[in-house]
Amino acid sequence: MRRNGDEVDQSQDLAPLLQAAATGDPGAWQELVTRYSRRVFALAKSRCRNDDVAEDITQSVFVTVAAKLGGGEYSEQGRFESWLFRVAMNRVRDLLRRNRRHPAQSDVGIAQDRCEAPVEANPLDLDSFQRLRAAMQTLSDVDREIIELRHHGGLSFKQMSEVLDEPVGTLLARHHRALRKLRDTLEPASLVHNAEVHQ
Amino acid sequence: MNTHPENPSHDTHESLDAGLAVVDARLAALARADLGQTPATLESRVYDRSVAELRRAAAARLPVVAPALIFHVGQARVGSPRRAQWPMRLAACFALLGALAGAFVARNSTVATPTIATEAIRPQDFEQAWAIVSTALEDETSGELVSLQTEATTLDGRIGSAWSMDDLLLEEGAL
Repeated sequence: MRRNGDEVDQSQDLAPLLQAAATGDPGAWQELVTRYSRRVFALAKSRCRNDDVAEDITQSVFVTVAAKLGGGEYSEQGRFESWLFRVAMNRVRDLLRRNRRHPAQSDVGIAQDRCEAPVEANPLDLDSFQRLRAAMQTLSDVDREIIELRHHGGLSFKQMSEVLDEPVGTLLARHHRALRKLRDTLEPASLVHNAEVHQ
Repeated sequence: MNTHPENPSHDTHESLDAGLAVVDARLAALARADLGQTPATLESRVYDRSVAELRRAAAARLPVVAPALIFHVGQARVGSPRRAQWPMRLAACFALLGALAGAFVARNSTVATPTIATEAIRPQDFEQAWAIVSTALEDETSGELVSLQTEATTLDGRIGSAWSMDDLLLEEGAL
């Protein structure tokens, strides 16, 4: 994991990095892949729960980035991350649409969703993670996208606003609503508590 | 609240009450666990495939240029426009494209004088064709095609294999 100080510098050197990457500079491409591939993979895997499919999506995203950068179809204006994750979200949505149309032929399906044990996780966390993943499946697609873009993708609300074409205020409200629903799913007792508070 | 382990611009949601903040923190922990599960060789595979795509996209530009050049050469033909002369003129263009690749191989910033010709090409055809190709080439060398220099060794082979006489004749039919 990177330190915060290093990360702040990353956004400042992004334009020259992208420019170098577009010309085929191997070091620049390596740096781009190192910075972003794990986040794209984590985002994809959170939804599909399958390593192979998540990697296919990740590779597909970076192939698109290579084609667009190499073809001069993208110019950096401070929105690279938003663009990258928009491409990633579109790939995930395409996959989900395919799965819904052809569930029997799909390589991954919502119905096959499985909770995998995180490596080196505390056994107590495993149960917690499983319950959390199950609770996330109760969210609508749009609410789940916000949760996954925020936590797995690591995007700010401003960046999510660019990815999803929604005002920041709307996303904050949806995020709040999604968290409430997750809390209520995980801890039904809180429903009682909330009802008492509102009376 | 939390900061994302891999993104400094990840902000917080300050208005969360304590109960929701706990859920938010759990989600952050889940995301960290998922990030920790990334396959060790993911980055190298993503790198290899994306760089291959970048090279493919760069190399693919020349065939895009080539038909345009052939068309221009055809438009600028000298003397009789009889269709029987098309193969000859297209062969001239083919030869010029070979010289074009040679120019990249040699990493010349200026256009090299073509030295490839066939017996069937009349001098005036060749000169006319080259004038047009070199003009187009000058435009291209100021831009993206310069980046193809590093791919020059494969470019030469691509032209040789992709632009066979069959292709040229097909092109003639299209014209």
